[in-house]
Amino acid sequence: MKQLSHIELSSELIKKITSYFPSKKYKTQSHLFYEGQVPISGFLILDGSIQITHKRKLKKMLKAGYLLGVFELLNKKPIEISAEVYPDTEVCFLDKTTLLEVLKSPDNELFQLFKMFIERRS
Amino acid sequence: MKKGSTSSCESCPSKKDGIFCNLDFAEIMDISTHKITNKYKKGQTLFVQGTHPFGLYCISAGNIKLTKTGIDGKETIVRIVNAGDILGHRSLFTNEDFGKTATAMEDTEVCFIDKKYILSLMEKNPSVALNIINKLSRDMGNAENKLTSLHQKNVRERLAELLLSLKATHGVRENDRWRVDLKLTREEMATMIGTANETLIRFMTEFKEAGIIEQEGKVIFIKDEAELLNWANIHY
Repeated sequence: MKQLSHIELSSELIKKITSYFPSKKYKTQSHLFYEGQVPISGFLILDGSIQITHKRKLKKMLKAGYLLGVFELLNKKPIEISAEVYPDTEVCFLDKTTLLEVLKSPDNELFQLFKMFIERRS
Repeated sequence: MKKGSTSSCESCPSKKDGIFCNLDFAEIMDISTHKITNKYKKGQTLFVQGTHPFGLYCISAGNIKLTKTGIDGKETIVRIVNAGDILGHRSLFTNEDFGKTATAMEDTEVCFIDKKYILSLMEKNPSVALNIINKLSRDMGNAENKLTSLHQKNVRERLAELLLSLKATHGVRENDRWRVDLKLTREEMATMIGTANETLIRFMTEFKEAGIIEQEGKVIFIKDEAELLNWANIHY
């Protein structure tokens, strides 16, 4: 699935990302976005699992290290999948304002990482 | 694949008296470019009680119910918001998790602006902060009124008050009556005034027999607003 990008999460990389973006552990089951919508944030799974469906059919269970929605968020493109988060899953929220700030600063330590993801999807 | 919705803030129902009403054209266009607009189908949730808020939701079309689930699993409708209203503004400042679940009652269109953008906008334009304070104050006033109502009024008065409030927010004038087409179930209405289903049904029947309201399926028509005001024991 081209909407999904997996990155190898070293503890150093997690530390870097979470210093820019907040992370939270979900207490209840909740939809992150529905099929056909533009995600309101990018999501990076730090721990736990997220269920991916397409046309109400289960497509994949995502574990730590998957990045979702960044390309669609920055390009205002509807996503072709639904994502539902399970309780006790820890997710890092990549908000649009901070993402744009990072992508406007080539000196930023996360610049290359997000640039690579966006170019891979373009 | 359908294209993402791109409704402009210039044509939003909240443009006239919403939190961005004092901004100039360029600032409104900047919000339009930054925000994310999505459509939610009936029953889809914008956010769930206990999850982390990360921005502000502006409702541009449709109705959304805010519900709170108690420890017994019982769901209560706290509020119904419609086009022009905002959600998530309280959480912008408290950093607390959402205390309620927001669910689309019909097909709705909702814009989302992330927290960082809103906070920076408030720094640049204090009018936005003042408008949010105004909104929070009105919300607090409404919550106090509701609390007083639950303590001091009987079920008949509370039902009359609920019907008047639904008329004020969602009523459409239709000849000699007001049409309130929210398609609320009796159970949902009962939770809104803190009573049992049976009690609600009994009082709805009483209101109908008195010629104050009419019902066609789940659509309620208010026929005699003056009498309803009298029964609600309030004076606007």
